[in-house]
This record gives sequence, structure tokens and C-alpha cells, in this order.
Amino acid sequence: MTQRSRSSHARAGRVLVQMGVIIAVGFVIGLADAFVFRRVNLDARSAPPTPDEAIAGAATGTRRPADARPGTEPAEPAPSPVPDRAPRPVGQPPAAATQSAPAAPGSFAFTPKDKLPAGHITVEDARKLFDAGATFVDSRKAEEYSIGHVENALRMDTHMFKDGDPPKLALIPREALVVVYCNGGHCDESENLARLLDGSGYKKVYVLHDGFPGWQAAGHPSATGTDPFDMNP
Amino acid sequence: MNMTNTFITRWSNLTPIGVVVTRCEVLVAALFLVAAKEKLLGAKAPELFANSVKAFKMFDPESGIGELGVRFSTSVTPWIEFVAALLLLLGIWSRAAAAVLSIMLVAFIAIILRAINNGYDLHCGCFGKLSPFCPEKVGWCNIVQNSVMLAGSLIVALTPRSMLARAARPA
Repeated sequence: MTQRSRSSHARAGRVLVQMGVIIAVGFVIGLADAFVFRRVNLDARSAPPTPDEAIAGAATGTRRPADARPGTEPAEPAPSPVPDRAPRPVGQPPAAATQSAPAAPGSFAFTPKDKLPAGHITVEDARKLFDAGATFVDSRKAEEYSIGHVENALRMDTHMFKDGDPPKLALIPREALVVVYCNGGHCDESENLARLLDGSGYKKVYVLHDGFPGWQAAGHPSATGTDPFDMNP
Repeated sequence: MNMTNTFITRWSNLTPIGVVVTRCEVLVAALFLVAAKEKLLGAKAPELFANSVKAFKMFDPESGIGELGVRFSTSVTPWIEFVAALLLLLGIWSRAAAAVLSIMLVAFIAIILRAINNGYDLHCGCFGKLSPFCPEKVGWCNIVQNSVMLAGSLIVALTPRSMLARAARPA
């Protein structure tokens, strides 16, 4: 072995040792951070009651102001734990509410109830909760929300929780029925947001498994425009 | 004193190759420091990053090992990024730091490719909430972004230090 190859081997060996040290230091700090200082909560969220039980139990009502939904009259006046919506910012057009045209039968593959993970609900159950005054939370991006969302839905995303509970949570009482949705399918944002809401004390949180595409395909009430409460777009 | 001299030599008396390598060092280090900061700072930042890791479905959620895998990668990845990027920026163990970051970038590219292949609709989480160069949803742009960063870190990792500074070159 020549002098040069010996020295290049030594150099490579030194770099490998240094790499090992860097990884080891990252390991030690990371593990100490996660298991000692800031324990990351990865527990599954608590299972909510079935939508029917929740609706029956929600005698106090979580209905939004009836005037927020054109064309729908509440069966009986119910106190609203969700505060009335504040006036829209000046210059901001009101969200346009529409009744989505139902998709042609068979054009959207709705997920059957027995295939749903715990805490997830069908579009049909989501509609029941909608009629019972549940708060819908859209976990998609602001651009997607403005193109179309469940009527009266609030927009929130997981990053709003980075420094703790976001101010928007003040709009939703802890005992409210909450339905979170994103784009359905492989979209995980709604489940992630549901876990964060669960960690913030909301115990009746459901994920609309088929997301907004399913809601829209069923022809349920949707709207366009931005969320007036979007303080962190 | 010796370290200061090394630093001055490294940054003030560079060959053309040295200029390219130091720019790559600074660029890659800065990007990884921002990425690590976004994943580490904030009361629930680790939990948000854990959500991002889970969304890539690399670990079986039903198994205990799956949860351990998420917890492990969530906690360790940003700190390795931070340590390696800091060393790279300071010019200490640059080649080793760049090699570590290169390995991580190869892993990230593979994970993103798998997500694209499986049609997952998810946010990259590469820079936490930020998406400085790409749309928020994971896609081919993230592959290009990581490939550029990989090229930069490989340049640093594979360039012998003797090629950087004129003062270090044999007369």
C-alpha cells in the first residue's frame, strides 16, 4: 500500500468517525428532547360517541345562527354556543352559499360505514351532524377553501397549533360537535387536526372520511370565498 | 488562534473551486438550519412534525414498532439536521457534516418518491410550515428541490479541503 493511499484511507476513516459523532450527538439530544424535555404525544385520540348518540346528547344545541344558512329554518330555536359570526372585514365579498349539484350516481365512490377507521364518519352522518348544528372545520389550504367549502365551515390547519392553541379555537366551545375534513382519500390533514383538537379538549371530533369531494358529490350545502376569521391565512 | 486562521483562510483566500464549495456549504447549511428550526421551535412543533412523519406512512401504525419509529425519527431527524448544518456553517468537519446531510437527503428523496408513487395527498413538512420553493403539497418539485440540495452537499462532501484555499495549496 502506498503512502498516498494509506493517507486517503486514514482521511476517509476520519470522516466516517466524524459522521458517527455528528449522528450520535443528534441522537442523544433528540432522544433527550423527545423523551425527557418535550414528550411528543402520539397517543390515538379518544373515540367520540357515535354521531346519533352525539346528536341525541347535544340537547343544548350547537346550531349556528339560522340566518347564516339561507333556506334552512331551525326546527326549534336553540342557544348557540358558537358565537355569531363577526361582520366581514370591509371590502371582503361575502361567501357565496350554494347547494352543490349532486354528482351522477356512481361517479363518486363513497366509503361504506364498515370500512371507516375509528372516529371517521360517512357523508350521510356528516350531514346529520351539519343539520344538528355541528361546527365544520376545513383543514385544507386557504386557496382550496376559497374555491369551495362546507357552508359555514371554519378554516384551520395544523400549523396554527405550533405555538399552542390558536385564537380561532375561542369560536368553538369545547363541548361542540366538530367535524373536520380535508380532501378525503389519502389526505391526513383532517385526522392530524382532529388529534390536535382532541388534545385541546374537544372530545366530540369526527373526521369526514370522504372529505369535501364527498360532501360536494352528495350535493350538500357548500360555499365559496374566504373565511372571515382567517387571521393567519 | 489556529481555528481563527483556518476560518480566515477558508473564507478570504479561496480558489474558484473554493468559492463554489463555500457557497454550497452556506446554502445547504442555511436551508437545513431553517428546516430544523421550523421542526424544533414552538410548543407543538415536534407534534406537528410527528404528524408529517406519520402521514408518509413509513411505519405500520398498528405495531408498537411503528409508533416507536415515528417517535424516533420525529425526535432525532431535526437534531441531526441542526448539528450537521451548524458544523457545516462553521466549517468544522465540513465533509462529514455534508456527507450526513447527503445521506439524509437521499432518504428524503426516496420517501417522497414513495409518497408520490402511492398517490398520497400530504404536505411535505420538509421546512415545517414553510414551503420556500415548492407548493405545499408534496410532489415532483420537492424531488427537484432535494436533488439540488443533494448536489450542493455532495460537492462539499467530495471536495478535498486542499482544493479550497490558495494558502493550502502546494507552492
